[in-house]
Amino acid sequence: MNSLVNILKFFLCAAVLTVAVTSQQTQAESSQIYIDVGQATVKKSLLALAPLNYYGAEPQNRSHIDAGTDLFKVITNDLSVSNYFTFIRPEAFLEDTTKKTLRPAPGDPNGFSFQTWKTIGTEFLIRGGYRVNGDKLSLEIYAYHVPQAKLILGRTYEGSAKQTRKIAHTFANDLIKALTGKKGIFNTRFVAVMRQTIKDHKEVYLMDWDGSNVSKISNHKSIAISPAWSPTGDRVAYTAFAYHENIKGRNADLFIYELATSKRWLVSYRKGINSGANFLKDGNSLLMTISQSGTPDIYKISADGRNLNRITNGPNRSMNVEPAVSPDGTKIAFSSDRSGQPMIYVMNFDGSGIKRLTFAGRYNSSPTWAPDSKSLVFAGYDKDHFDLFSVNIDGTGLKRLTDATTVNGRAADNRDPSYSPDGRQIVFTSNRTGTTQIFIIDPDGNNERRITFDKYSWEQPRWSPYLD
Amino acid sequence: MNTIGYSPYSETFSRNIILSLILHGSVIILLTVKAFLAPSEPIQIRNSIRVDIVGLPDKAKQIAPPAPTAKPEPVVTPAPPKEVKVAPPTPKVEKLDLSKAKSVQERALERLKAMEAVERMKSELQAEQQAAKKAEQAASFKGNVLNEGDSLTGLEKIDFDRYFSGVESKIRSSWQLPGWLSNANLRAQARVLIDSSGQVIKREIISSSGNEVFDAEVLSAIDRSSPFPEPPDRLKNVLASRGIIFNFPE
Repeated sequence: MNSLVNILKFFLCAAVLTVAVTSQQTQAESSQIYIDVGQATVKKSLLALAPLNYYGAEPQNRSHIDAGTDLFKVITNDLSVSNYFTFIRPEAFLEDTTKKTLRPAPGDPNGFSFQTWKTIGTEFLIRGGYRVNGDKLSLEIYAYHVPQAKLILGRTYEGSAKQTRKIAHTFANDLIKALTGKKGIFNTRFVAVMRQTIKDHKEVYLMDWDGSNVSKISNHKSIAISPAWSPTGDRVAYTAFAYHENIKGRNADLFIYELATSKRWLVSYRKGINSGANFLKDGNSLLMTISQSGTPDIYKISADGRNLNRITNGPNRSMNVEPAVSPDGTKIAFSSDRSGQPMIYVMNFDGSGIKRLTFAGRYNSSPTWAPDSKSLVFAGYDKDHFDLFSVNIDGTGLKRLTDATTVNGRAADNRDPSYSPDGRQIVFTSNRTGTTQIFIIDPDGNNERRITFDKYSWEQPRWSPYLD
Repeated sequence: MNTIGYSPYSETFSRNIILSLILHGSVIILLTVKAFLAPSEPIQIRNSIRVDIVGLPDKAKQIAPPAPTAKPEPVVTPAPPKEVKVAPPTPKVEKLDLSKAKSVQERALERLKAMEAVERMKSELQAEQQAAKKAEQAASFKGNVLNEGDSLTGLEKIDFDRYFSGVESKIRSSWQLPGWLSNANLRAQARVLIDSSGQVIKREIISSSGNEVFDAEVLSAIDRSSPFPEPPDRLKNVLASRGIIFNFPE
């Protein structure tokens, strides 16, 4: 009896199995097959940036040539930093661009030929010409997508000779916008601290993101540090050790400087530290560190310095510094030594839900948010030097971004990170060359570039918001 | 004292030797018997796990961002052993030359049989190698390598899986976008008809991304992927008629 049951069981199993196998096969044979390809590998596009033709009425002189060279250099540098393009070397060009107009051939009898550019694999062709008329400079420039023989962008930019670089940056921005739909960063600036040669003073400076147009905005003849941009880029807050007559000594006070008017005013001069300013989105209030109660803690303060709200408190007289509000305005990242060593923490905007984000290393500081509010970059010190690290907001994905060495082979300090407004670059300082210079890097740790080339030492560069 | 023929030493010695031999023998027998009756647990050799307790991570050395191309080498299907059909070398010769024909024909047939036998052995060997390879893959079980699972064991199922993962890795490794387009969140669908040798017969965008460059990149990814691996027999019809629909990116 038992054996009969067993035999029956066996047949049943076999039948079920057969049905399963055949149904699988017939399914594959009869239904539509779909395959998800997944995310693409990113590649660069081949770009031909032809030298700019001179179309001025006057015969070309030295200053005309310089203006053209400046335009060309700035455009080249901007587009190269965008990391979207590989430049085709001019030796490979099959057309003499000085003899062709800026327009394509069939329409323009003396125009360039798309076919010729296609032959060398060009994906984008930029043809431009400029005129100088007294103090006026104009740039007429066109960008074409060669495979589609299509004009992407064609514009004439005009300005004074002083605005040469701005004209070039604006074109680069417009091209990036035309291609990606997103704003370019080429008219943004840095605010940074430069160590002075006398008495180790430090002052605050502005410069274009590419290191040009450096100008000094503070003159306290003491130590000015921790600059921060307002959300619209019209003001800079910073801390300076200012002399106080009544106490016959210096205190770390918070100042705000307005760029357009060069006005400066004192915002917070409470006893102790008034530092680490970080503007909130509305521009009317900021987060900062104040130590009037004995230990440095994070406060929210209105831009006129009146309303003060304490956000952190201890614990155990630990310090809470370097507040950085997330771009979506919901969270604050900061550093605190409550665990014994300075580490990065994240909390809700009201100070609740404090969560430790980093556990590795000995000293983690200077958190800066990615524009999507999903990750942070900070400077971390483990063995004998600082490097930049990125970490997700949930504490996962800790990754080292820098690992440069100095000329004598020792690990260099890379610190003070600050995100670009488009989130595609991070500015930071590094002492790899001997002096502390400003560099930029991709958030994934690629494409490091040196920005400043001088004998000074720079600290705490902060990337401005979009300024155009 | 005459002690010739008697040595108490030699007697003890030989007794001990015998005893020792017996003991050794019994130990050997015991071990042998034990090995048969109660085989010991097989020693499992496992990969050791190295745990580094360190501070902050080093900078990753890769230059390109981890992209789909980083997939383990495509599980390219060594085409299933083809039944090599050796065309019978026209034995019609016999009609033309009847006299010698018989022996010639016999020899030819003999050779043919031998060749077939060799082919069979070859294909068996190939099949074995493939099976071994599969087992190896299953064992190493890396990243995106598809695990066959154990619910179905049909050879065709294995073939299908292997084929599709081959197709997938081929198209993935060719799928590139310019950086300025990679964050645009565009999507497209393309239908690809594939012939019995894996060549693309036809490809078309059936749902456009709305961006010409994106669509062109989709088509060129397909072109760069051709030929795909040779499809299993039972899929040949459907691949040539309805084809595969690729979702870019998903």
